Amino acid sequence: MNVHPAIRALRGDWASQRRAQAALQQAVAAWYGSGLSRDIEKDLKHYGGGAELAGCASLLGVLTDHGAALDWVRGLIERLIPTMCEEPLGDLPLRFGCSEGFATIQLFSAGRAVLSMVAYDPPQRRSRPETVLLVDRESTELLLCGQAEGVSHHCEDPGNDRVDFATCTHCWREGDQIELTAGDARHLLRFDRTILTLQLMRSAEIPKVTRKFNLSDGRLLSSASGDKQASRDQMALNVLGAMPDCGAFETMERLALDTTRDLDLRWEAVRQSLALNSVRGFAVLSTLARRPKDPLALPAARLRSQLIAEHAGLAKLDREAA
Amino acid sequence: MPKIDLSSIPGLDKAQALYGSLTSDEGGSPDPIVDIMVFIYETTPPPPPGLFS
Repeated sequence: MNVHPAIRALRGDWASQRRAQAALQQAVAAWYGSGLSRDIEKDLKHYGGGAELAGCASLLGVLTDHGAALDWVRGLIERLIPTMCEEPLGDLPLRFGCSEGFATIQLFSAGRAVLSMVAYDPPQRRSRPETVLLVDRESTELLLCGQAEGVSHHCEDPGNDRVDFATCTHCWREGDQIELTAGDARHLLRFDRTILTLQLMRSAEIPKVTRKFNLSDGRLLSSASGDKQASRDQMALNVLGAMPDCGAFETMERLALDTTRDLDLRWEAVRQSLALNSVRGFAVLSTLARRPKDPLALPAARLRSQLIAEHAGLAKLDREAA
Repeated sequence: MPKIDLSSIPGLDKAQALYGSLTSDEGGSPDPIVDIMVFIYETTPPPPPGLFS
């Protein structure tokens, strides 16, 4: 593995590590401690808990008043950039993400809401997006710097497998606000300089499935869970399943039978319980198959028949139980 | 009693991909993350109540 000499030197130099971290933390803390930042943080807690944006004066202020928003984020940027130049190996003490042409820094997060600063670089290719992604959330975005031509798409019922999009073209300029709800999406298409936006997002209380549609004919192409926690739990089940000695069967059984949980999560619990202990997992499967009102009853009955046909031991168990 | 291979047990007909997998650059495969989590939890088990409350 190639390790940069500066990083190798830093590894053994705890004093430098601490100095770099302290400098960045200090730069960020001063900005977070300002009166406006504190007011916005308070507002975001209300908004993230379900309050109307109209009732959150400070948060609404930085999403509508371009000058005020710019002054506010400049306070952070002007502290961070010199500090990062002085301490290039320091770790930014904020959640951030970077991919080609896109960078984001999460400023605040509370409940279902997140306030971020997002930068887009001019696209390298001139191709137009062919798909539209619809996410079950509200978004309010203020264009801080730059201008862009783009389109917005709206559909009335994003839950259908084929939708009709109403498409509008736009020329967004500094100070413009872009508001989107669950049936909306926007694409920034043409811009020559990096665009910076302040973006407020709030996911639905119980988020519906995220869906990707073909733009030309409105056909559903693919879908993914809109529920972050349910997907995290599914991954945690995979972890438990990969550690067979950690005594997780009862947890799997509880999740599989809990009708308040996400269906995909429950089914994953069924699969993992069968792989962990076929006899006890088979009993869980049989319980599910006998519940007429449970949406998992039918797939459970189908899998049960399949397992009985494939495994003589389970067929014998079934005959004995009858 | 039989040992059932996890990969032989079908998913639901209308199973959804994991959260974020439509926007993720990596295509959303959770396998490397699960491997890392297994390594960490085998070294340092999560405190009670474990991974699920």
